[in-house]
Amino acid sequence: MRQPTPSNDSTLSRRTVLRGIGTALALPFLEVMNPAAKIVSAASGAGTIGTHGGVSENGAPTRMAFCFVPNGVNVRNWFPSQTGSDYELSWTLSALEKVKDELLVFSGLTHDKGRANGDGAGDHARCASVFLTGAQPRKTSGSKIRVGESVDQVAAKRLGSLTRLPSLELACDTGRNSGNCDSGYSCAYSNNISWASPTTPMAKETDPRQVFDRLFSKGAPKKVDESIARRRKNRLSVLDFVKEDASRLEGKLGRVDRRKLDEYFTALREIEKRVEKTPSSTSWESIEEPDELPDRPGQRMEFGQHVRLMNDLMVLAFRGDVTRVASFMYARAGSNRSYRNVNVSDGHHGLSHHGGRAANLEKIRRIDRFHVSLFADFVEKLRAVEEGEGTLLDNCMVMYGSAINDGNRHNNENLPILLAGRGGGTIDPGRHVRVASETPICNLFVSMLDRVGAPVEAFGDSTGRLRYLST
Amino acid sequence: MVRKPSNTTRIHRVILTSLLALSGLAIPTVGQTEDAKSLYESDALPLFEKYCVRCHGDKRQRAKLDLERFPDTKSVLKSRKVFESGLHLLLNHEMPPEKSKQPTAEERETLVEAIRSALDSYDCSGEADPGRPTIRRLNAVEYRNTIRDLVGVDFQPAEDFPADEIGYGFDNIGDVLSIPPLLLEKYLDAAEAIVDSAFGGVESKAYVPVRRKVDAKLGSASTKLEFALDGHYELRARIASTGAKGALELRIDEKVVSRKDLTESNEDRQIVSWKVHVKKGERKVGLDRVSGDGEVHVDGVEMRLVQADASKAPRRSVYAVEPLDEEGQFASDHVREIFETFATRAYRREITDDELQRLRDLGRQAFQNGNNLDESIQLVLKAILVSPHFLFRVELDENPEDAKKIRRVGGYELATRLSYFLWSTMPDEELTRLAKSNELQDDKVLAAQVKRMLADERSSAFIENFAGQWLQTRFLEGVTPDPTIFPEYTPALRESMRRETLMFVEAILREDRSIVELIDSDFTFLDERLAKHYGIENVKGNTFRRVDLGDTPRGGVLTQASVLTLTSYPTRTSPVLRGKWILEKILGIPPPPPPPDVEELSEEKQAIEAASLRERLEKHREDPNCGVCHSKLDPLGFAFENYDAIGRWRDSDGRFLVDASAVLPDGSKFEGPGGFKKILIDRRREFCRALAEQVLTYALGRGLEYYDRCAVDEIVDKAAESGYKMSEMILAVVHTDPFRMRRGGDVHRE
Repeated sequence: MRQPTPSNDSTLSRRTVLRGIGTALALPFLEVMNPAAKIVSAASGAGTIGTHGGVSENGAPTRMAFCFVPNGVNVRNWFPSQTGSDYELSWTLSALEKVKDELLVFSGLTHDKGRANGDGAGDHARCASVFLTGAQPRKTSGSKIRVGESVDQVAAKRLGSLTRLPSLELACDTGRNSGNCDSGYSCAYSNNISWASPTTPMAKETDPRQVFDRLFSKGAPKKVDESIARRRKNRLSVLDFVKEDASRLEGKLGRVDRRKLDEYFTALREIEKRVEKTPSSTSWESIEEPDELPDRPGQRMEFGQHVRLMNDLMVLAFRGDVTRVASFMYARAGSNRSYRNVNVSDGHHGLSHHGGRAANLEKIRRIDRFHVSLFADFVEKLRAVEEGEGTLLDNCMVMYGSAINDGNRHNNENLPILLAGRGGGTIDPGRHVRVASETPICNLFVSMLDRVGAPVEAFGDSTGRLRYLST
Repeated sequence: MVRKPSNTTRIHRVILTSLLALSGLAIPTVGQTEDAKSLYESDALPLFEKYCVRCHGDKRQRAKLDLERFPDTKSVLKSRKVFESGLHLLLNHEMPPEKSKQPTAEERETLVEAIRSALDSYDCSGEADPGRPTIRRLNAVEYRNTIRDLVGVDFQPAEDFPADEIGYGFDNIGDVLSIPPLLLEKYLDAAEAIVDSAFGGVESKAYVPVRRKVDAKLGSASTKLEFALDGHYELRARIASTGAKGALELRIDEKVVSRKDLTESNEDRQIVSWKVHVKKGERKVGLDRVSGDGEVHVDGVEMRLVQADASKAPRRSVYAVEPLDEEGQFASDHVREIFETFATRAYRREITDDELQRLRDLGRQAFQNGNNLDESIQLVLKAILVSPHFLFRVELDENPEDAKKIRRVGGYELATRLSYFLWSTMPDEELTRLAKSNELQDDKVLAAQVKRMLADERSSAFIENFAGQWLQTRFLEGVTPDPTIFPEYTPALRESMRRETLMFVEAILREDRSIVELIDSDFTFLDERLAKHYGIENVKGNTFRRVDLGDTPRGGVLTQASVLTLTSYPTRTSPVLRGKWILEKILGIPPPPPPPDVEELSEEKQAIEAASLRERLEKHREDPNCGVCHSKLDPLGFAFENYDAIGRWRDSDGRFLVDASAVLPDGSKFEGPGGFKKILIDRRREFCRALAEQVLTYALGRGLEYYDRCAVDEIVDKAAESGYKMSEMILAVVHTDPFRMRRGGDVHRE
């Protein structure tokens, strides 16, 4: 654990040492959750599991996270051969041995909208944009981008008012280093999995230091004489003013331009909420910085460290109930990253077109297992946090996977999908579940939305709810 | 398996048609309406009759489509959308449906080509459709530059903004630039930090960039810097001085103020900094080499305000006047002037009385909320920096939904378009003045301004942003040659590669040279590191300089290490990627992507040792499924096999001698890169067209539509007249209708 360093800031001591995460502090949600829980259950009502309104019996909220990996997997080493609770982990998944009991392994889930369906090449762009939306992206290099609202954002809209940030979108690639996007699809499709609306991707954050500062509100006043209250008031008056600017402007614009202004309005409303909820500095005293977190933004880091830090940040955000929804792209779709730490110097995408060659398949499975081990890190960290009678993981649903099955075939059925956590006691993990072939993964999303307290009738190309989450 | 029938064959058909141009079949161009008409009538109609009208005819009209109602090109153009989606279905083998009688591959190709030719036969003689760009948010680079020119600080955090999405190959496309909550939050934070730092008092995060490069031997190095405030500054000089010893003295207005010993360092570039107190105003800053040996070059000087003097004098660029009058009394007309001046510049147009009133109300409200006078004014300035009028480039139409109403863009709009095109920043005073008087609309004035702007340092933004994305040097950082095979590839070498290409393109532009030189030329820019990489002698030190290439096997961007590295795999060269790059960038006919279930070349040791890469690729092409495409891609790449995956010259690859000759699909043969470049130069008009499309896309911030063909033709014609001068191309772009006009409605009028 990093030693505490003296801080110049008298009100904020960010590096409070706290060994044994989550033991010594009263979690914020325990104080505020009960009234919120009532609001949610009153609002939801519908849904098969929605009665608990996204809050488990012990009063803790249910959280959801989605982790995306590109280029499919080495299928042969991914899927376990037995099903049910008495099954053996496959070679790749053995990296999850420690958390096997917390895990549902799925086979058979499908993203039909990831298929060409008449749109021709571009599977990578489709696979990222369909991943959480279940919608067919419109093939365009720029004008009229359209896919669908993503499942995390559906949840964020319903639950966002309860937490300071409606959702968190993380990624390891900035997307800046890529000019090549897929076959007539705008890069927006391959670079994003979270979509605020069918036409607006959520921006991703890639710098762990900045994410930390934003989560824990380092935007504290710089000038000593400016009180927090006045600063908040000033910000709100600026936001008010520009909102008026925008609505006057909107009336003068054509339809296409108005869409852009709508994005601006949506963003404004969200920030207003955020500013109103800016915590007083004292409530964050007990937040502890992750060990490997750089002091400054913009530090380069090795990929594994980057992912582990992002895991830490999601855990911190969930623990402090700063948000209940997160999405995380390990890499953008079609990423050609090389993984020298597991002795793979070829690019991932190139390898994924393995042509059935043993050497390529070997390298792919090494990458897969490395990715999965990073996911295991996330799950283990969630489990290490005590919450109520159980652990934070008990109140989470964290999904991991790709919207391509085999990188060589670019097929979108039988996707490699994992789900960890107990969804506030509504999920019985520890099983390998084989669903009927062609079952839309959107059925899983609908069931997850029920559990997080944002029930919907249908989502994407869902045909119902996924029944197998509990036994 | 539930997957639908494989796409492979479908995609290969697409390839065939896309590559027709390469095999010598010309794409009909505008003006050839007569030919196109006959092609549609002679080729498409009989095939419709044979395969389509049974379902899509007068009698059945499936999907409400009656093909018999389209007897000629004109009728096709009227229902462009129907035929565009039909083309799509044809190409994907979705029409005719599986169970119906299928056309032969040849027939399908004929049909596709005939429909295309009809769609491409847009008539430029009528009233031109200038299209309309979607309202554009400033991207991160534009934001940073605009803040620099508006407020006078270089706001680095613009680099922390979420990455701008890319559309049509560029990051300035209105349709793609979204404004998610995270970004607006960053804008709000940035506005606060920028205004705060502009007022001194607090340590400013940012360096004020100095555009002039001082690039001379020491002793004579000096430059003029504008210091806006009295205060303590940190001055920094970037110098190149491998192994040099001695000391540097800093002079301000001929007075020596500080002396610094050079640290003996093997780093090629080091930064020397001085902390000094400077009075505001323009000062001459000089550096003197006072002792020591070895060469020292100064790359640039920059400054940063550390602490302004207590006088609290606000920055001139932000406060047009003092808010207090001479007697120290609050002067409301002064405050109004501050708001008006700042908002006018920030919104890049005149502001209305109503807008001014609202700004004043906001200031008053802030004052009532307990802010002092300065803070209240600053709050208004912050609001301006978050306003949609600042963050977006707004162009208003009287009837925004009326697609028929074409108008010339206004003076301010034109100035803004120009300025973001060539400088990636807001218009300067001169442009603003000409916008206000509307003189800018005059063709001659406009041309003179383009000339002035290209000569100005700020146009290096065009090189960085346009050329960096077009030639993709911006993405070099994402390319990672395997360090075990290429230990020579260091970040410093990568930076030198990038710099060579950008300096080279800059020279083509600024020296009124022909774009043909981009394909082949007799000079480039090198530092010692890159010269060594190329095996060129007698280039010493880390300063880039113009180098005569003589009879070296280099010349033009295709033989620059940046491009050669960008088009290679981490472990080896890829003639396929290089071929693809040439098709896309030089000839403007991007090939379709490979179908998903193709086999990659074996990278196993055995295979690599058994035959040369070329032989292995040729074997791959024997499979007709592969050959159909690769016979058009690979030969282009073979021309450059003498350059390895990081762009070094080589005679052999492993134990195999390199064979850089090949035959193109049209039968023309060539020998090595030189021979191939000759072929490309013969096709300069195609290259010019490909480049014109890219420049126009970047200039307009939107994807090109069919109606933009007319503008592209015009650019190509004008460029050709001038001997393909790049500067003339830019000028031609600025004079096209899409650049100078706009209309309401949607992207497409219908």
